[in-house]
Amino acid sequence: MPVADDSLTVLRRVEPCMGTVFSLDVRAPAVDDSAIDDVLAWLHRVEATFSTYRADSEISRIGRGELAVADASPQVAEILRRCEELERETDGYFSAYPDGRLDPSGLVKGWAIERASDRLRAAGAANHSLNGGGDVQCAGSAAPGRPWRIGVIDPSEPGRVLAVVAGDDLAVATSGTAERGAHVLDPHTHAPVTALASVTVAGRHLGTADAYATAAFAMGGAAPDWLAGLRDYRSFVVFPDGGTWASPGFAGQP
Amino acid sequence: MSHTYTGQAVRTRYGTVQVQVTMTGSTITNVSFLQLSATDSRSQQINANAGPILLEQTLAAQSAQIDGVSGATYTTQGYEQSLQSALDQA
Repeated sequence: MPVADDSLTVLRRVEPCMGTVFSLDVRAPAVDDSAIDDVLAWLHRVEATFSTYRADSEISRIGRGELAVADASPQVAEILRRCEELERETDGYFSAYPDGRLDPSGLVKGWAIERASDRLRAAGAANHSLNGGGDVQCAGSAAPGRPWRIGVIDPSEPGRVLAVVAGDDLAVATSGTAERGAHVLDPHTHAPVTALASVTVAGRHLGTADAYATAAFAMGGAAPDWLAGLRDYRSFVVFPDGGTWASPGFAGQP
Repeated sequence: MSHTYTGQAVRTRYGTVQVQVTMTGSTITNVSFLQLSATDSRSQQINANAGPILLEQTLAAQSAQIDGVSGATYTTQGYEQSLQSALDQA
C-alpha cells in the first residue's frame, strides 16, 4: 500500500474473505508470516462453513434440513447458541433468521474477526488490528502508551470521519445501508430497515458489538434508547438527515 | 490550491474500476469513483463499497491520530492500482 505511511506498522496484510476484504495491521512485536497464514486459512475455513452464498456450506445444508447441527462443526453450535442469547438480549431484533431462513451472518463476521485476533495474539502479535469490511478488532495498543483510535466513517460521505473511538483491546462494528445496501431486515417483519444511516457499537468483543450494531440498526428510531442501556458497549448513531447521536463515553469529534 | 488526478481504468474480475484523487498540497482530500462497472449484482455490491478500505489507509497516513476506520468496506486490487496510478501523477 504505497499511499500508507503508518510508521508504527511493522506488518500489513490484505486478504479477500467473506465477500469483503480483511486488512491486518500488526504493530510491534512482529510475528512470522506463517502464523498470519494460519489465521487467514482459519478465516477461510469459517467462511466455507458459514457462507450462505455457498450451497454446500454447512450452514446452507442445515438451513435445508440436510445436516443436523450436532453433526456439523462445533463452531456452528457455538454460533447458534450465541445467536439465541443475542436474540433474547435484543428483543428479537437480532435473529439468526432475519429473512425467515437460517442466516447467522450478523454475528459470524464479527465473531470470526474476534477469534482470528485471539489467534494472532496467541501467536505473539500482542498489538494489532484486524479490519474485516469495516468491522475492527484491535488487540493491545497502537503504540506503547497510546490506545487504538478508530474513526467512524460518514455513511453519506465516505471521505469524512464523523467521530473517533479510542481504547486498548477495542472492538468497533458498524451496521448501515452503505454496508449491505438496503438489506438489513427487521426480523419481525422481514422488511428492509431505512430509519437510520448507520449504527456503530464499540466495546471489548467484536462478535457482540457486531450483533448489537445489527440489532440496533433494525430497531430504527428506537435504537438510541436501547443502546443507551448497554453497560459495556458505547455507540454512535447517524440518521439519514446527517444528524448524530452518541452514547455517554463515545468521544469525540475528530 | 487543489489538483485532481485521474487514475487508469483497471479491469478486474469484478469489473472496471477507475478513481479520481483530489489533492490539496500534499494531502489527499477526496477519492471518488469515475467507473465502477460490474457484471453481476454480487460484484456490484463489492465495487460499490470498493473505496473505504483504501480510504482507511489514506486517512491513517494523513492523521497520526487515526489507526483505522469502521463503517467502510471492501477494496479491490483494481481500486488500489487505479489510485496508485493517479497518485503517481501528483
